[in-house]
Amino acid sequence: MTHVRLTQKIPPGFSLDVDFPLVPGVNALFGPAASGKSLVLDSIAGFTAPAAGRVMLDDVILFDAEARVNVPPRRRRCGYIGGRDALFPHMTLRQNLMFAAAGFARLERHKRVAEMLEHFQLTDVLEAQPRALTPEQKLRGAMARALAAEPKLLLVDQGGAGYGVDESLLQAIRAVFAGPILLVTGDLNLCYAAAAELLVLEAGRLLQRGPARQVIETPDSVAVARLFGIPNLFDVEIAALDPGRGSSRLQSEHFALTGPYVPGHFRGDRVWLAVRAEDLRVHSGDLEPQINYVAADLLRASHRTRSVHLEFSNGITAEIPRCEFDRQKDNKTWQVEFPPESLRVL
Amino acid sequence: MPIDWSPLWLSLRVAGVCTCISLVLGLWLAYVLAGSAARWLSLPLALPPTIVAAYFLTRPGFTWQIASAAAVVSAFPQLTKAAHTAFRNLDPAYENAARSLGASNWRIFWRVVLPLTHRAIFAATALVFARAATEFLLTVGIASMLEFPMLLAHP
Repeated sequence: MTHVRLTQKIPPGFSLDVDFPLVPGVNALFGPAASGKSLVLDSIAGFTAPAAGRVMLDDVILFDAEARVNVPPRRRRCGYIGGRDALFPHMTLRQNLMFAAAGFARLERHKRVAEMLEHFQLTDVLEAQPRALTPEQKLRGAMARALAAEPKLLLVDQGGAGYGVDESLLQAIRAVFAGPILLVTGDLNLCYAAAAELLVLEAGRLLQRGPARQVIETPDSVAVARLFGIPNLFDVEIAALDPGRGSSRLQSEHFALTGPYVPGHFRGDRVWLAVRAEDLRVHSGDLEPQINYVAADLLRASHRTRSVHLEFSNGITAEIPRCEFDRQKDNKTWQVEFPPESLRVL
Repeated sequence: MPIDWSPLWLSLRVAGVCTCISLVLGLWLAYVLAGSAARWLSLPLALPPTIVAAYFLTRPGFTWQIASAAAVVSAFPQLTKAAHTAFRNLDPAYENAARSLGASNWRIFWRVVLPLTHRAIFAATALVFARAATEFLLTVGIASMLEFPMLLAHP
């Protein structure tokens, strides 16, 4: 069992309080800047000691505040790949890996290093100094070095731009490493594509935790929805509930919508309604209004690489394909359609 | 008249011994200082070296070994400060990476920290050597009271 519970206060005003298990595979830790992600990573690696809590890796206690256990980082067997490039600049790539594998007997050491270099496609540059490598090779080198030491847990901080962990690299790691990987990232697409578990952290608190795709598709609070970049968040009142037809009537300040049945709520409850920008459809105002058509004024259209981002009055934001926008750009008035299946009550 | 080189050899010997001892002592203290949060450990650096060196005046018989010791006391804080600055300026990411790879502190020091800071430490060592070899006030102050070969210039 691998479990992490940490409490730490950093004056002024920041406090960390998290409690989560780690599953084999990729555990993504998602959160905005300064939410405490790197602090979690450093505490597990043992670089900083939390004020209270317990870190358990494979049933071995690495840190326990009450029992005053604090295993030094070098005995924790946590591979650590920080946000910055940390290949030793005075050694070649091969020497870097040999340094990591120093705990093994000589033959075993050479074998491990050769395997890792080959697995991460670094055999061409094994005698190169790290400064001669591309950022991508450096990252693969850092992964190979961390795995050469045979860790039980891999801590990866995706860090700044130009030093990105991608899906194929995670797959390459998974092929030779069966333990849990804790990946600190701000890339929601990567979480969706490659993570088994997603932990959403904000201001030192875990807001939501669960299977990655489920969490991303159904955020359970407005704070998580905001972090995921869902722009359409409306404070609505449940005006009617119809369990027979499985529908509800949701009344916002400016418009009313028909949505799916909302279990566990009563008529008159105020709830948050979240709708993804790409789920909305837009139509000309001249069309006959149908179910969940809301008239709105177009405030701004911003062209993106693959889509057009439309901001309407009443805080509605839609994102539509460029070809769709080209077809409709001469509309004088606009209607936004909220497909009932896209409405999510938080 | 044949030139008497013995004071030069003596100076170099004193400076050499002083540099070696300062290096060991200074690097050790600097590494301990850089690794711990205990600020009070830097207190020895605040001691005025000449006053500490004056202690050696009270020792019976002023040999070259004592001259070296006096030079160490006056010179090693300088080396400690330089090495400490070099260790502090080193990106902690390297040390953290090495620790997570299971390396001991001793190994991290020799294989990671020292190779990455050797330029700064070499420069500081050269300064300490030069200072010990030409340390004049300390030597003349002590030697004038005791019998110690000193060559300033031949008239």
